[in-house]
Amino acid sequence: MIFLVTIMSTAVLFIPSITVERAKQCAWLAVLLSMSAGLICLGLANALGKRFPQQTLVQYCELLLGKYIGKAVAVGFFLYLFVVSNIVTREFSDYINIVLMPETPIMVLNGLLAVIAVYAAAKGLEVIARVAQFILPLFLGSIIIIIGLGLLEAQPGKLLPLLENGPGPVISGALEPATLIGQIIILTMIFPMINLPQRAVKEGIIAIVWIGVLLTSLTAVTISVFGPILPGDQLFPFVTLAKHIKFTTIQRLEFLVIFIWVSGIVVKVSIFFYLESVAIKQIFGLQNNIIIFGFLIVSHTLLSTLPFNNPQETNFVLSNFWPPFALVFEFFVPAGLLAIAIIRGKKVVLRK
Amino acid sequence: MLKRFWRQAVEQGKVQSSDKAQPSDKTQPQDKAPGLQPQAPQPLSVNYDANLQALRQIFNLCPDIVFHEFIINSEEGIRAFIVYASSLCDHRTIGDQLMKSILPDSTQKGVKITKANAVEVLKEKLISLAEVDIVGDLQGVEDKVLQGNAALLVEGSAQAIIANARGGEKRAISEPDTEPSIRGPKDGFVEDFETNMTLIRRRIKTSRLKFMITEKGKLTKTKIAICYIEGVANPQVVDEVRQRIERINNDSVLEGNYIEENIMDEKFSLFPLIQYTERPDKACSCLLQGRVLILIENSNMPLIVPTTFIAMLQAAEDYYHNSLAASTIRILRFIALNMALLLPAVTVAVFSFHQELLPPPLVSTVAGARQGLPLSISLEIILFEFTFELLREAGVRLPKTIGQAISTVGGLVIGDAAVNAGVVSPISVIVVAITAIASFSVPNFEAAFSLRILRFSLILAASVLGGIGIVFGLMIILIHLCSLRSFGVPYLAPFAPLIVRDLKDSIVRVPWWALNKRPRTNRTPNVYRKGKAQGPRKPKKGGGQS
Amino acid sequence: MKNKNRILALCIILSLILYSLVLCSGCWSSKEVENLALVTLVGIDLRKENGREIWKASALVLFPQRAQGEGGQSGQLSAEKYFEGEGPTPQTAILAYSKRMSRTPFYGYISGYIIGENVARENLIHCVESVARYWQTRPRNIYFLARGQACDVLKAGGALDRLSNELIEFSDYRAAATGQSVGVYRYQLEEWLTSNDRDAVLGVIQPVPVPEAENNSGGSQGGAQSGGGQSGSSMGGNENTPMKNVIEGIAVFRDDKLVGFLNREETEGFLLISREITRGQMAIAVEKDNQMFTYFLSESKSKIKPIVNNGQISYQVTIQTKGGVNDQPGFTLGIKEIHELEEAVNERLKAKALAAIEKAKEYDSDFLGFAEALHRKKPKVWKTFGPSNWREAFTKADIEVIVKSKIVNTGTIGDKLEIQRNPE
Repeated sequence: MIFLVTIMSTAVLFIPSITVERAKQCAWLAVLLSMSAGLICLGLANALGKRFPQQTLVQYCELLLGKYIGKAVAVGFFLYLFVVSNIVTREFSDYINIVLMPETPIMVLNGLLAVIAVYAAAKGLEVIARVAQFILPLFLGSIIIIIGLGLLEAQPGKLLPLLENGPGPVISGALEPATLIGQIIILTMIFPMINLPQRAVKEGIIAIVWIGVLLTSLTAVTISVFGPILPGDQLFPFVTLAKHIKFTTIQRLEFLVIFIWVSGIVVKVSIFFYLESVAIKQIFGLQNNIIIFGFLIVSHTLLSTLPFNNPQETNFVLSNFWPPFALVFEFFVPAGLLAIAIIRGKKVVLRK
Repeated sequence: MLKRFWRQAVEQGKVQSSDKAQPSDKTQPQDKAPGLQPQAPQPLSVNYDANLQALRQIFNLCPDIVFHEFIINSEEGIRAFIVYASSLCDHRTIGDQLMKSILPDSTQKGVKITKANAVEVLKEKLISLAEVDIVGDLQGVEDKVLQGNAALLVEGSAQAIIANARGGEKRAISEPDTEPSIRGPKDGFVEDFETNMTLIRRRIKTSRLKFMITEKGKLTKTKIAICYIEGVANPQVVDEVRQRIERINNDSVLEGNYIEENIMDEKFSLFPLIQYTERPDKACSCLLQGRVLILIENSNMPLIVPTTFIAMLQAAEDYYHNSLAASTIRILRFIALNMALLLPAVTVAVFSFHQELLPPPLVSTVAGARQGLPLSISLEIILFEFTFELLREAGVRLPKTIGQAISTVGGLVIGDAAVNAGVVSPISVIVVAITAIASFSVPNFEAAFSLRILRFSLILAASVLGGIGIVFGLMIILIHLCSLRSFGVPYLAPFAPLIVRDLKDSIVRVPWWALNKRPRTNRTPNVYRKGKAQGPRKPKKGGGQS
Repeated sequence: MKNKNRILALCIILSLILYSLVLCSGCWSSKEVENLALVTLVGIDLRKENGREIWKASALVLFPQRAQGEGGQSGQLSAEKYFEGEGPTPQTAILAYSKRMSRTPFYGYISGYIIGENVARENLIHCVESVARYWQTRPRNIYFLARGQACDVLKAGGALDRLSNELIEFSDYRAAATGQSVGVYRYQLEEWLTSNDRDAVLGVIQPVPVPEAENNSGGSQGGAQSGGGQSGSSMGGNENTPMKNVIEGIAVFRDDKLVGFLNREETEGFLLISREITRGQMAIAVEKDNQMFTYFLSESKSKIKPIVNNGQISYQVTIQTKGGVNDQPGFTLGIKEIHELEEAVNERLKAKALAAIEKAKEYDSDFLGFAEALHRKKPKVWKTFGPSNWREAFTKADIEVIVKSKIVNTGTIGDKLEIQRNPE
């Protein structure tokens, strides 16, 4: 039952990535490339999960690396989750602030988002999965509508020339989406709770492929409507595309974008909250739900609001500091753990 | 005090909350209901007068309990008396059949009745009546009499013969007025238990249709029947229902709700987790899907468990109309449901926050109309919604003929007067009126209540944060819905755990030849309804007539 | 009991939080719909005094009013009101006139921006950036260049929202079709300005005095419906001579500076080369055998093909058009004759295209898309030009124009209307 949530949560996270396009008209190629990075991460998660089917990443960190280093790495992983959810919250309220309602204070939006996500996280993973399943068709439908209607305005000539400056910009442009798609590594945390683990990989692959296809086509359409340079300058090119579409009476579609963005973000943040609470429980041994969730609410409300003063700073952090930091935890840590697990031959024998 | 509460909360948090379903084998030795002490069954005595006295004592100040003393015609002059509740018994049965069987004709030859064999002989004589029973204690007699039986006590015997004499006033079977239909059977459940069972038995003529009967309510002693089709209903669900009903320990069960609130999965929920129906055909179709029906005596609306969200959209009529028509109407109902929930909130959000979403002529018209009005749009809509609720509630109490007229006319008149007076703008009236109409098209009236509450909250959310408020509110509602379960079945099936097979009968209704399997939601063991490939087919050429 | 207490306490806390949010909120971003002033057009002008820039912003604003009487309570539009304000930056200029309005200005329905000539010559960037950053502008907002001052255009275009509607209609439907001008959307302008292989153009609008006849007949509120592509709405009242707005011609930019204008002929050439025309209504007068007939162009497509020969760049432009001939002085329209007519049309269209190309070379501005085509199809050759002289790829190249026109429609009469003419 839980397998579909992987699709949803990772499908959600690509919306922020559209907002940064570095590889100009080859950006869509960059996206395709990042899909493969995601598949690698998925493979890692699966391998680890097969070795330790009943434990989350945090737990077998300790097992593999010894008590202190293991705990440190686990705390690092928790920090990774924490930072992700903070940044996502901040991006959300930035978007609302800039595009819709400039006067609403950011702390209120952050706080509300945190409260709702905690409500969902407290109810458990299954509820989140069902919410995701429910939203999924609306989500996909809206995106496909926007892509489809955008195609009417598209001028494919703008996608030429391909690979003008060589593969360099493509690779550097692929870095950011890769870190986002790599978030599928959270599969490692969910593994013990999945009903049918053997389907997890298949579902994960379907999810990544879908995301890749949608994201690629979205990027391609945006470029072919607006040209190669303009979307890079804009903060939210996807929204601009939605605003631009006009097909007889169907126009002003940005409301659709709002809806899918907000619902997707809620799902994503609630999953991350849930995982953080699991991580806290496993690392520190706390059991009390109220304290954990209260802490999460408060910390997110404050930490998303205070450190960044304006969207420029958020973007700066996102483009410069985020990719290396994320890659460490999405790729290197799991790879390292897997290597150690293979070396040490540690495996949990399945009792059946 | 706060500290104490905090510590308490911390402690509570440490305990895993698993107190959802109480284990059913928890016996409750103490009766919590005041005033009722469990009584050890007192046996009847052999002494005729003692029995009479005891029974009269029990039925003191109950003038509708009749004691009819007579002497059985035999040489020994055996005294006997009948106790029955005149309000619950059919007098003809008692007069014609019972008494005539007991008092033998002088010309009739028969076995001699003596004090010793009186009970057996009489029992045999009463064989022409159904349900003859023997009871040996006072409580048993009391219970049986109050259920509409007649108790015959003979001198010299410590046993009472109980004969079924049920009758009394009942309502005739009439058209269900909460769920009317154009096409389809027009009988509805009544308050009489036997009649309801009849209505179901007539439609499902198999011995696999089982009724498990228990009695609940210390004072009301209401009969409750758990009804299911063996082999089609999931045995776990049936067992769960039985356990939960057995857990009930209150002193009155008057109607379905008394039970409902005790056996639901959630303690508080805005959405109906148990379905009611007044139509036997709908009840039977639910039984055939593998669900469980709970019949309650003196209630004309049995409960159906488990239920899902889709039940809000389904009416029995859908199955009697053409598949395309039914699908279209269901989609219409779905849209109406959304409108009933969202329309006022969206209006508030769009007119107060996101005016750029509207076409310019609309905005200028509305803006022009709202010049100089005292209230903001959100306040106007809240006020009008409130007024409509008042009208609706008032319309229920008034006699039928006037009631409908008043609510409709009242709404229009008040709205028009308010607009003319310049107090509100016409857009609020229009929006609220359309919302009211949309909410009437939701077939399930329980859901309509929850819709109203949610609508108000969404209006509030919209007036604070506009579109984002609505989306946040919807997310909260969605999260709540996704976490609901009705007897183990997820509430949002077939959408949330995506069960494709069940989608055929949710928003649309696929024709019968495509509905081969029972809905997986209910997890029946018997999956196939019927054989495959039974759709309408054109006759083969050469084989049939032209 | 503990459970109940806990639940109760949680409920209380939750409701307190929610209520406090609601109560202390004040609904920050809400704007009541009746307090809106709907701005439909904004004009931006620039002048320099003593070395400092003074921006002038003007706006046409609708104030929805309640209709009096008639029993109906629907709102009605008042006439558009004209506002203007000045300031050292565009936004201060806008705020200068917002102060005078009794309601909050609302830019969600703005149809376009009219830029004064001086702005285009001196500081287009400032204007475009501030428009682009404002959150309520939409990609489909239209830009026009005003000959002279933008505020004159706005003053001339007044009644009943006419001007902005006409601008929208023009840009959406009739721009390329009628061949007068081009409607440029905001995103297109930004795209051209930011691209490294194309120059921008803008449509031109200017107020002209109304000729007497039209003034009299169109004096009522309705205004004369435009035919043949001239937009106009007469304005009663304040001006000494009533003016109306005419959209005609194209303004050409080089980088971000205005360098010149195109006349009618060159405009049509531009449209033929760089736009795809569908549902066109261009009437082209063609001469054949000293007689004129009209080729009514309805569709047109063009392709630019760059050809590189030993470092020598040349382009081949292929224009394919479809049109009809309804207006001709008695030619017999048989198959052979139609071919000849098509030849004549080809020549005429080629002349237009060449005129546009000449002008582009004269202004040293590549707005026709040649360099862009080179960039897309032969990127390596493109790279040999640096960022400062990419236009040489166009200006120093030979351009060959091939026109293939088709006459697909000759009306309801077959070969010819047999009019008897007796030789004198």
